Amino acid sequence: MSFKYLPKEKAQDFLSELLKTGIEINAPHKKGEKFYTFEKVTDPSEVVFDYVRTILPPKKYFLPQTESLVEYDLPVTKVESKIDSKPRILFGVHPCDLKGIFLLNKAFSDKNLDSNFVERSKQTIIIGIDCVPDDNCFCTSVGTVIPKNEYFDIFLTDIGNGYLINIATEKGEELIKGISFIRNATDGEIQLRDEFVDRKNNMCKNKMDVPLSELPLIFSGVYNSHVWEENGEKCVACGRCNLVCPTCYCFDVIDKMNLKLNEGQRIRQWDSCHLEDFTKVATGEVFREKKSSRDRHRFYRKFYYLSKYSPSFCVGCGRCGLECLADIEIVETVNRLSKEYNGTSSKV
Amino acid sequence: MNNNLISTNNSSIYVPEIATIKSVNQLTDFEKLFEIELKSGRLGHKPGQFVQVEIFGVGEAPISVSSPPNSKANTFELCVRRVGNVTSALHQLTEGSKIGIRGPYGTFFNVAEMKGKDILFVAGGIGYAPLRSAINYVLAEEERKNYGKITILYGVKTPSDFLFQNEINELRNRKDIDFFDTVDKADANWQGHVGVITTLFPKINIDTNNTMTIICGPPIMYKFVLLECRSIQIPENNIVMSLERKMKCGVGKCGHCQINGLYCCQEGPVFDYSRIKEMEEAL
Repeated sequence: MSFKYLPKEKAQDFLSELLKTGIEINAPHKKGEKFYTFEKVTDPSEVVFDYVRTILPPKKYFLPQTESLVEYDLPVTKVESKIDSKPRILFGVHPCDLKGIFLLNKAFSDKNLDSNFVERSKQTIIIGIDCVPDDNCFCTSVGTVIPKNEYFDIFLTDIGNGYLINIATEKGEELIKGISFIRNATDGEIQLRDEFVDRKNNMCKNKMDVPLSELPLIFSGVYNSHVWEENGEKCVACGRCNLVCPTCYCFDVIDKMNLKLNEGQRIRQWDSCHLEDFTKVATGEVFREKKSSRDRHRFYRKFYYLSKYSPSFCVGCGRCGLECLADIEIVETVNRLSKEYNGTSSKV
Repeated sequence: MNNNLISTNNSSIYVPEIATIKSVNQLTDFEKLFEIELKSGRLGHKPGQFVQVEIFGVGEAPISVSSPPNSKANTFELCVRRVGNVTSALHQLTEGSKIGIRGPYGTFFNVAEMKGKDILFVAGGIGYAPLRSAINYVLAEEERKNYGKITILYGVKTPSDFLFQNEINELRNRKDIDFFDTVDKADANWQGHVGVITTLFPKINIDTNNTMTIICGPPIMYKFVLLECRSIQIPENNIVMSLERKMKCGVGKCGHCQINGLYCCQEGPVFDYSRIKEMEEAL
């Protein structure tokens, strides 16, 4: 909707202004020597503007690791849905994670709308920030270098002495309105942003050998590839990749009683398709018994099964490859698959 | 608890309706039949669909509806084998107990489209439970005339494993259907056929081009039954089957029931064979 300019020396003041709204802000903080995490902002000086990636993606603010969906009394007379949600500003989200939030929104607001997710999404104002990729990032291969305006309310790009602010929604306009040190951007400043994006398009060293548009074709033909066996032999089925993924959203649902035995909850918690029990039915059958088939399943969810939402459900953040105990990495795997693909392999 | 919790009554797809168990019948050592009543009236299911059954304080499990949609009663029936923690807890419950019900969910045996056709039912073990919804529908007095020849194959491990013994006895004696049953292992009193379910196929006499085949049983059974279907040249497009998966949410989100790219709770549990035959994860 409009472009503004925020001088760098006023960056912390900007956050202080946002804090004055009384809305909780969550932003990247440093954790230990080399890690970053999204945390609640209490002191704007602790917020990190230039980081590469957080340990967990910001999906935790939309799909918490654990949450109550339904609560009831025991013996039951009343069952109620529970949605733990409040207004929130999510600050400092990178383009890959913005796309991740967008994709989760699609999956949860599709047929059978998930009101817990959607309610949180409605109450969240998203402020993205541009970034410089490291050796694990591969946003250039999956089309997440620059976010579409529908992925955020406000988006900041570092253009040297300050940030170019791209305001995409009325919620965003409302938030910025009245902050004295934010002024309209000049054409030259918008030009600087465009030049940065051009440079960023060539920044990732970690690159897929094939364009995004060809991935569906490749995945339609590599279902029986030996690549899955190779990955399966290395994989330890720990599920870390699922947990750190901005777009893994499979979950488990369990019931819990309180100790007084007069109340119960249905609880949703993160789950992992890499765990053997994920497909286990009561009679004991497991429908993806081999680690290779579970590894393949995750890849197919990223590049094939969910293509109705997007050509790639992988957003190129690099977290899973970095966290993998067995060094299974998305780009390297896709490149091996594409090498093998010659149009003769088996179909899904 | 924090004060940000929003309480709502029915806005969430995860909230079950409280239902009452009207009666419980022990069918075998491991299976019971539960008659369930919803305050809101009829369940409004189609044959082959399932509900999510909530045992408050314990958990939820997907269970196929066993009664036909055209039953006289307002209630519906669930035939449940005691095997996991939820079904074990359900087996402890008695008449008057409250449970939660979500659904009905999933695809169904399209008995409306099968009108005018012959139907071959192939049920193995507890697989009879979901098929019963369709069998009792088409055999109901007002519907029977709409269907051609009805053939039912039903196999269980031992004679004491037959579900719905009284109904099965009636089916054995019905003149307007072909009913064949078998046990894997006989006991001293068993006079009938012995052998796995595929050994019943030589007995059947069907017009393969006009027959819809509906299969439900343990995972091991399908491929052998499909081989028989192929050998008597039942067209693949005339075969439907119901598959078991661990539905955690029932609404196409949680991912547990996924068969390759298909969510079994949404695009199943009833599938056309031709749709899933190339999916490695189907069986």
